[in-house]
Amino acid sequence: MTTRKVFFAAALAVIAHAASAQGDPKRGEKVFEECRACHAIEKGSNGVGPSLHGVIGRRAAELDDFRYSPAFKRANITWTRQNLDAFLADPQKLVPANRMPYAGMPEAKDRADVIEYMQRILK
Amino acid sequence: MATRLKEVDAVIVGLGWTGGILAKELSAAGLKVVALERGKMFSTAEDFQVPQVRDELRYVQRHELMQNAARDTLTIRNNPNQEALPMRRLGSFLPGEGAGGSGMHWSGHTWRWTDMEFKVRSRYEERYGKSFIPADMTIQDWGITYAELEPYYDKFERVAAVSGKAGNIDGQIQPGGNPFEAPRAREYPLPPLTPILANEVFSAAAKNAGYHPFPRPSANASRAYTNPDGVRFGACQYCGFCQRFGCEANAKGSPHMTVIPIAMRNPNFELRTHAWVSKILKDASGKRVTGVTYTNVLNGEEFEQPASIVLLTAYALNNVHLMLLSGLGQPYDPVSQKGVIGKNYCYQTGAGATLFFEGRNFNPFMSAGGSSASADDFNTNWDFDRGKHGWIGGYNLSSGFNTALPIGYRPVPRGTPAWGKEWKAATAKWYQTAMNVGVSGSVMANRYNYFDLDPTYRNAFGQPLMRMTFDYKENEHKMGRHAAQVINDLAKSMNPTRLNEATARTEPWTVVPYQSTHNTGGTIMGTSPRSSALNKYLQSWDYHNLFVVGANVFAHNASYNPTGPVGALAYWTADAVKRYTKNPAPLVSA
Amino acid sequence: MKNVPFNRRAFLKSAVASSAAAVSVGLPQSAQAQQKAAAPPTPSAGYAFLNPDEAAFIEAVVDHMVPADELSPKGSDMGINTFIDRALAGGWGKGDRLYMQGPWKQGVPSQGYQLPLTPAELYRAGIASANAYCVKTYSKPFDKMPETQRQEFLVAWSTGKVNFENGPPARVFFTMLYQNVIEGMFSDPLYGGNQNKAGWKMIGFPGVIAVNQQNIEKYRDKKFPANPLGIADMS
Repeated sequence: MTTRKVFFAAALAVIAHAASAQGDPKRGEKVFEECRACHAIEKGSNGVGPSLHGVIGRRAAELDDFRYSPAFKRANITWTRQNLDAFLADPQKLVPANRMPYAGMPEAKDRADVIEYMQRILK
Repeated sequence: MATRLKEVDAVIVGLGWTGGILAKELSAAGLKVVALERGKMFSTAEDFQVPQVRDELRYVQRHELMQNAARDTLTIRNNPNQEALPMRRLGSFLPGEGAGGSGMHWSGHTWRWTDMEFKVRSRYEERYGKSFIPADMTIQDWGITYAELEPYYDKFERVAAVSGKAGNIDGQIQPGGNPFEAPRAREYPLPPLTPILANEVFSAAAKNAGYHPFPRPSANASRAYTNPDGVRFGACQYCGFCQRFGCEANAKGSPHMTVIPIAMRNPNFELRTHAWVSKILKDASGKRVTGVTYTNVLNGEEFEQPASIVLLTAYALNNVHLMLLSGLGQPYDPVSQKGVIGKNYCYQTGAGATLFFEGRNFNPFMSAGGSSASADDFNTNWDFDRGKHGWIGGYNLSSGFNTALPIGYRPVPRGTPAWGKEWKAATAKWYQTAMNVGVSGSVMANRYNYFDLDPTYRNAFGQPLMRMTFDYKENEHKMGRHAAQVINDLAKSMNPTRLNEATARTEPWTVVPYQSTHNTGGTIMGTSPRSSALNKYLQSWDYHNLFVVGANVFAHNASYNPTGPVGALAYWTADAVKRYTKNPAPLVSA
Repeated sequence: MKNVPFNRRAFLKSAVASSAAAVSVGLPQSAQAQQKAAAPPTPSAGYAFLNPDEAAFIEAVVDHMVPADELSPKGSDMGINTFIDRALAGGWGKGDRLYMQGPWKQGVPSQGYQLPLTPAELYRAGIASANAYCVKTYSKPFDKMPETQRQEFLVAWSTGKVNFENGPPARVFFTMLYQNVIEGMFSDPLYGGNQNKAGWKMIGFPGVIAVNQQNIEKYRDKKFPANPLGIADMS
């Protein structure tokens, strides 16, 4: 647990414009409720959206067992914290014409917290 | 020859909200339950995916999620002197097909009907005298009370993720809610939806006029939510594609993502799709039903499914049709007024004005299914004196948008040509700058509005179609004139640039265009087997192991959408069936 | 049941042949084009159902109802004719979800559609009847009539003042045709009409992307900057 934390802290430092401060994963778990109608956290469990198990660091549209939209297949991005932050802020802006039925998370703190939660738990 | 299958504890005919609720509750109680559904199973991920689900032509104009009239429809006429002809294409109402039923393509409006409906005859007689009710108006008490149903309303609201604002908690009037609602034990599970501009403009004017506007309660989750069964809802995205569509965000309370998948996880439950039930079977004693006959429409194979209990939970119209086809109970005769099956068919009525405001932006394409503000001053407000107006019932006054998509919704001021440059200019100018104020009104039961079997036309299985005889009567016309006046006075107080005034309906009911999928009655609940088909637990008076659930049990139709009491009565019936299994006998003595 | 009582098109042609005024009802489109000035031909998506006479009728109707101006291109440039053709060639045109069992009666208006015809059959009989009416009244089929006569005929037709002798009920056909024009103008471009989302752009309808949870507040009483996308744009 501790080594992981250290590792991520180091990884964070090298990502230039990552979400400003490290978020609060406990609060992030609550924020993540907004996502759970469509996204499971268990590996291999896809709903309307793909499982988010281990999403951070994954290439977009990488899972074999989920039918991604053409927009994600073309997106050619990796889910770094920075990309995830931009995506959550305005999903249609980072990946235009994607089919996720979600308007976005306007509060930076919500995004930081939920990304921290995803980083820690969904590995 | 039909293949006879192994007997089960309960067979469910039709798997929408009512069948789904009963499937989940009874399989959890340990009963072996089989559900037979005409259509297919639906899933949000496969069937309601963006962008395919955003298709007005496919879902609204071509009726993708609806019953296929080529296989089964009704014949219709306005009065017993006409020859009924088949409704060859669905129009005025749109029953759904498939597991989830109309509960997938509804808008989510979820109301609590009160004792004003359940005790309709006794309350009007008490206040206005017996002679106030016209001789042909066959309204009667339902045999149930609001107090009995309150916990079941609460349960359904929580399961379906209803967003709203309470107006009356335990007798305390709550600011912002509907002051005319009956007392509820607690708040709605979710706060009201974000009001759209049309709601605000309407509410301000309604308050000025002395009315009591409030946000319409609707099963569109105003934020992410987990229901008591652990089902997760996403937040409504106000996509504007609600009515006629499945929800891609799992934000609209629907059976296919709540009660049905929970039942399907229970090994006591089995769903057979593409199973068309053509008859309910009865034994020689004439006191019990024994199961159903159905056809697998994927290959034509015929089966008999024996069951200790039969739960008839298809769309309201199809429930009545199956009772008539199976010869269960005595068919209603409007001349002798004897018999009960087919009695008291009711519908709804309405009127509306369109208000055009130059320079405003209503963004009609941004709305939830329930983006309406309503006022019940002429509906559940019992203090409103009907005596001097001479009509019975009520109407809910409202304004908002729901699925204002451009094939169907293109408001232009009256007198605008129907094509050409002038039409284009008006269409472009007013699409986003118009709003409406309208009413949905009750229809009281009438001796001559009823169902029976058609003597001529047949469905794909060679069985007689059901015949609907219906028209609006003087009571509805009087109420319509009152409503049009109220709408127009209110609309004028808002000073629109142009106004298409509301007009009271005078023409007979027609099968086109779309009006409302709120068909009620036909196998009504009540206090006596002489005047009703079912007792207060929706148990057949004649066959004590047959329960019939849906809006077909309503003894008349109110202004409100029917799904609130339909869902509550399904939970109420589930409890009754659980008691029945311990002592299989009539739950009310006749 | 599937056949119109007699061959209306053959009848129309013979009627036209005996009429000195009308000359080109059955003329190939290329020949018609030669008679016109040097207007560049509009690229056509081709027809799956409509015959040449029928196509000319439908093109003329959609261009009259939806003329080009600053708000949109003309109907055939939006593909409304193609939409109608594809609808008639497909399941809807062939009577999908339509109860088609007899006996057939006229009924009363409140009983809705009661014809023994699928939409495609109604169009086939209805266009022939409409052109026959136009030839009798104006000495020309609809697509050869000048704008003022087209307008006069359409107004009369839409208000119930036109009867098709021995043909299908004129008003029932008009109602279906008008509804299909509207559908072709505002349905998803996937179906052949509303090309370049011109119908949606005309009114500011944003199409398939509709994540408006925050837009309700953000665009309250403000113009929403719609850049409409259709199903194909997300596929």
